[in-house]
Amino acid sequence: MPTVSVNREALFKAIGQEYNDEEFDELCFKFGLEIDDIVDDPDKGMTYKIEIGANRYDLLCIEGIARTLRVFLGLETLPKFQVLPAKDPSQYKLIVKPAVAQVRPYIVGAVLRNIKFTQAIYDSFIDLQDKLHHNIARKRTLVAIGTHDLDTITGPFIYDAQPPKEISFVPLNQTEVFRSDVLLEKYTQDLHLREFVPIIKDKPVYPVILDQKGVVLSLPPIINGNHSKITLNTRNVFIECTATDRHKAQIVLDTLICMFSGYCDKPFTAEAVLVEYPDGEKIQYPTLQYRQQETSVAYCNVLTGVEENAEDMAKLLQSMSLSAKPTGPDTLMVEIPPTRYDVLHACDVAEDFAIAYGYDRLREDMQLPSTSTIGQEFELNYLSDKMRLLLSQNNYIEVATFSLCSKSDMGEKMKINLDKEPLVKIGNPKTMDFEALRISLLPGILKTVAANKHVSLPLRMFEVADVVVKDSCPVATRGTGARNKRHLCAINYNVKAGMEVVQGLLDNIMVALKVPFTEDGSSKGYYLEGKDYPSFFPGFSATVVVNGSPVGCLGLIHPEVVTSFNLNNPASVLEIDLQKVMEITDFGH
Amino acid sequence: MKKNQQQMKKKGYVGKHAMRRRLPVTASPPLPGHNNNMTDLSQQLLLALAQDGCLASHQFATKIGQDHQRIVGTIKSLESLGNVVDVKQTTVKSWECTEEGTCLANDGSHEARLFSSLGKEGRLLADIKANIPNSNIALGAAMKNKWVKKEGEKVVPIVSSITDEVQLHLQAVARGEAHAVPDKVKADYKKRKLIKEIEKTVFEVRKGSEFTTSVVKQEAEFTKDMIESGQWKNANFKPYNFKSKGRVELRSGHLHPLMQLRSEFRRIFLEMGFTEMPTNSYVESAFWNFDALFQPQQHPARDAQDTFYVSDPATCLEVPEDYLERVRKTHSEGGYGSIGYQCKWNRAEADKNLLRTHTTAVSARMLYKLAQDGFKPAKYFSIDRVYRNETLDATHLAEFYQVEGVVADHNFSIKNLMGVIGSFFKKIGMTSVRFKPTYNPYTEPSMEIYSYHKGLKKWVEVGNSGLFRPEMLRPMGLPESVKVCGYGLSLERPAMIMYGINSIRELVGPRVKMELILDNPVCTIDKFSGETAGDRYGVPSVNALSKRQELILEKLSALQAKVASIASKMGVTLEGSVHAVTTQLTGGPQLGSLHDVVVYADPRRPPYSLRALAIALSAQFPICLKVHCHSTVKEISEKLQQFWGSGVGADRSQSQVCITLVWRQVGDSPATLLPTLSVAPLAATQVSGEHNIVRYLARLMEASNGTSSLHLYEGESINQATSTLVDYFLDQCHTKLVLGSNKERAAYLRDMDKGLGSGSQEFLAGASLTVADLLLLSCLLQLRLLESAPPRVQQWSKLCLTHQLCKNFI
Repeated sequence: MPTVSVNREALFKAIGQEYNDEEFDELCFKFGLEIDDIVDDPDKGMTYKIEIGANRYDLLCIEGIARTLRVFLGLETLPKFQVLPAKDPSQYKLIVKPAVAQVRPYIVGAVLRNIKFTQAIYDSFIDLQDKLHHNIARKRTLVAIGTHDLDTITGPFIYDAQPPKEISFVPLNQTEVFRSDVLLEKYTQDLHLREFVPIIKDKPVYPVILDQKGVVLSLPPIINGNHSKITLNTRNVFIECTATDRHKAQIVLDTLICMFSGYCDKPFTAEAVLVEYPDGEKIQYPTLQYRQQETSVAYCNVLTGVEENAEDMAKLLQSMSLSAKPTGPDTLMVEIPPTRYDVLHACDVAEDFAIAYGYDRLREDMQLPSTSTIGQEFELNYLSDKMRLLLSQNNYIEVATFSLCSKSDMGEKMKINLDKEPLVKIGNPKTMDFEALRISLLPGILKTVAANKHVSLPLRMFEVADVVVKDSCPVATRGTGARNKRHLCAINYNVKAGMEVVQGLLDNIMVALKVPFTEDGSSKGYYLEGKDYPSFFPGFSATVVVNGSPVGCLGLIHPEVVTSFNLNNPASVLEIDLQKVMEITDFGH
Repeated sequence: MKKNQQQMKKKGYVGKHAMRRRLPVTASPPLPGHNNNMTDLSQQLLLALAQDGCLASHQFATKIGQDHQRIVGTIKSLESLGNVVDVKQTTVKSWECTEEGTCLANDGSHEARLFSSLGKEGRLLADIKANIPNSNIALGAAMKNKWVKKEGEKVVPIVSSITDEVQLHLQAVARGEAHAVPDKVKADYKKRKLIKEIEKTVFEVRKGSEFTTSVVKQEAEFTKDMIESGQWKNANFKPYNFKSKGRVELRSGHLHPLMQLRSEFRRIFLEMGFTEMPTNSYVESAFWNFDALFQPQQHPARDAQDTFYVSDPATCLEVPEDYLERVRKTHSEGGYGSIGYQCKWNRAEADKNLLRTHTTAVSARMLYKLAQDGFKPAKYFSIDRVYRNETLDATHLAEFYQVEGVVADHNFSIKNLMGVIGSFFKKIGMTSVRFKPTYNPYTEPSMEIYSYHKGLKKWVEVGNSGLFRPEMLRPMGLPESVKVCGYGLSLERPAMIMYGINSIRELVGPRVKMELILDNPVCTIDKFSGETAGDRYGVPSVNALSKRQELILEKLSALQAKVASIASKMGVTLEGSVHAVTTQLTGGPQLGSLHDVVVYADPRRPPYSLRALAIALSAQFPICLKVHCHSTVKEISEKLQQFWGSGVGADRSQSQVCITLVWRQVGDSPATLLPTLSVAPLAATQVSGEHNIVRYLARLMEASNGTSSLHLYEGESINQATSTLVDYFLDQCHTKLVLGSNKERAAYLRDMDKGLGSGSQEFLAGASLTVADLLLLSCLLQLRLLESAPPRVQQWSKLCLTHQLCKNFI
């Protein structure tokens, strides 16, 4: 969730109320904001770091937070935002060229007329663009904002895409002209801009916005031109947002307008900009759309568990910046303002109603639902728990290791060729430890033994947990192509090999599972069938066969495996597929 | 390795017990020589003791020429036999030769050695100085003793022979006969660093009550042989040392603390009727993990920065296509009353395989199945692994356990969600929870769960919850009225708090030390605190009570407004009746008119509290007290006939209040045993139960304009919180004691006992007597429970009975 830093003094001034930290924290708690931290910034003074819900773009700056809280406290109602006709309709146009379709097809724009910046407002304006870029705009991939001093440029403006070598301009805060491909090369080293470079770097054409005189306004989504740079003295701001997602561009533009049009001479207004697409489509921006959401009073009441009438509900919604009018005994027409693009459904209205009603108040009257059900364990977990208990009763200590594992721990160190194993691999591991999902519990247990060399011998450990294997059966893998297997693994690490010790454990497990021992390999019962496995010492390992099916193995760990895990004593091991054992025996039935 | 094992010994895993018990004097296998010698010594010592009755260890050692330490050992072993000898430890001061002193004792003093070196002619001074050690001391002493004199360059003897007293003295000290040397001389030798004074621990031994010179062999171990041979009957056993710790022969098996906690949580869910979900599927498709939950495809959580994507098998095999189409439509275009995200929905994005980021992916599958099978209300839970490709730190790992609960039912509300979560957290000992609005992509409303942390004295986040969005549920095929709530928390975090672990790697993973598993107590969670939560007697806090009261008042005023609005619509005036109610409640008895109160009571349950209230009332205004007997009562004791006591009360004609007690017997059920009160016998309203009668009479008294400052219930001197508390006690006493089963009664009295013990106040609701005390006392007497009541209740009752109002209580 995004975090916004705001100056405490400025915030309280904007809200028009004084609070101590606890009181303000309480207010935030009730509304659903969270004060992450309070910092005494040497430059900015006492600063609140406020965590904002990821869908509330209208709270990403101090203007929005203060206004929303003022409305919540009933100190004001949300202003009505308005689009005014363009002062010069022939100039305030964005003409889209066909070439942009292959890189960044959409653009929106608006003009803030006669705005007055102060340093604080200017900083907040820049900050909000930054926040929007990082959140809803997904690091400028979806939307990129450019703001310009309108008085330095001449419309109508052209939104085009041109080969990189043909675009040259003086980028923001620079003095010399750069060719765009050179510029991008330069920005791959820039701490701030390098993360945006890949968005267009390898495209055949780069998007560019030009004015009538050929002045480059910006090279979206990377950088603006220096020519149209806004300053503290700028009075008329031209805002354009280029995008790959049209709806989000509209949200970003409306959010900027709603947050900063309050500083215009005619507050809460913006002048229209007409966007002309090559196919003849003409759309006027900003939309500042007020959407009507019909909401059932009963729906909100049932969802919340209260019984408010339509009027009271409307009043409460008012404090959440939603103006609502009863249109019938059970219906409210709720007007969703352009600041509240997070409202998608009546359930969003219901939540706002519940917040305004007060979660604390609801809590005072919390009720257990009448839902009457009978609890039921998952059979595999039931069996696993029985086994865990049995193993601990056999003096084995339970360990809990990770299901992610490095390939070297599972392969090389275990003397196993992973190419032949049904390994589930991770595409984007941050470290080697997360390269793949384990196919055996043994490496984790061996690592645990290695971390506990200080403990007196014998060390007996076990784990009952899942391993994961690739499998092409859609049913068994629930359609994913990989499935879990519940394994049981036990180790006896001692100065002597003691294979018969883990074999004795296997005998105990089989007694518990009602599986008899069979010497002649008959189909009923279990037995060991000598077989060499790569991780085990030749001649000292066997397959565990239950009712005719192999379910695991037992053996003496290969000395090379022992040493590769930085150990120095013999270890004998049992690892079985518990899930399979459950399937082929009649345990629990 | 060796060193490590040594450390383990210190830590107490193995080995420490080998040294635990001292070897018994004689029962251990005889080591040739040494032990026999020991036996001889103890025999010798016992014989000496038999003769002298008392001996000191150091003297005995000197006497028999043994090392003192060995004698001490012998004494100790004799002492361990029981009462054979009495041993007293003391310290004695004694003298000992220093190194130089020992030297001098052997070879003679410096001056004596000088003297003997002189011969008859004497020696040159220079020669002496050059060759005789300590020549200056030797010369000085020899001249002082007038053994030698200086003759020019030479030192010559004066006497022919000398006695070396210094040597004799030092030899005496070495023999332990320092007393033979004059103190002054000893002081001089001490100064010369020839002798020193030492402190020595010695033992004084006397005959014990079981003194014997023939020590019986003591057995240290009870063995099979003894049982088979019957030897145990005659054997003398070495007393067991209960003060040392026991011994673990074989390291026992253990369950991992985190897994133990998982079992506890699992059990709680099962207790609450939840069904466990099959969550054994770590690999999930993005469709089920995100898209099915209406999590937008551009959501940051779907970034490779946050989620592990599987490269092999990179895409899923199949997804229910019709459902997928509904999901696609809801995302991109909306539906079911939603406008959707209004952006393209990419199939390839949904087909990607990943490691599930939450078990809610499984919940989604379960809910989908529920919709396919025909919806029935359901509760699901799971506790299993989930994955986040996050930056790792002390509290975050790439994989952790998520605890999740899901409840699906028709018309489920936020209050229900709070109720489910509240009762779940109560079960794990977190009795107070709060909810903060938050944002989750797939729930609306969404609430973070906070619990009050007593240690930190603040609310801390313990989980997340919400009602799933219709955009998630409706495409599955669930009916519109069905609401589903989900809540989740991590398993590791409570475990870390529980075991006081700061780094998560000390709790899970291959680097966990066995000490964590072996040395921690068995995992328990505070399931029972919920039952005794709140303050004393399980009373909810004043805060909670006042909030509850506010809520009730709010409801009442809403109701009143509703009634008023209906009335106005119907054209009815309510004023008269409203007025009537208020006067009935608040108005005291009017002067000049008689307030008639009739109480019906069963003689098996005499309402003793009325006696005290009668006294209280009579302090306010003249009252008349009467007793009648109904025909249903065959016999009535003299005591009950005189219930009010003799000579109490005024004449009816001069009284403002008249209380008539009618004994009657209408049945044996708990309800018919309750006393009832009628205000004016003709009025239909009845006050039922002693607790309500007490309330009525107390209000009657307090509502009067009397000058007395006696307040027992709601009067001015009693604050609102206290009277709320009194109310609580009255109701509890009624439901748990009067109407309760024997078990409930006993539990109630135990609670009261606990409560009375924990506060500093004397009476139930504070420092002064209230109707709560009167009622409880009365009920205890009626039910004959006072004699068997717990001690603090008894103590309290005695205090009550000394109160002026209770003087004729019994």
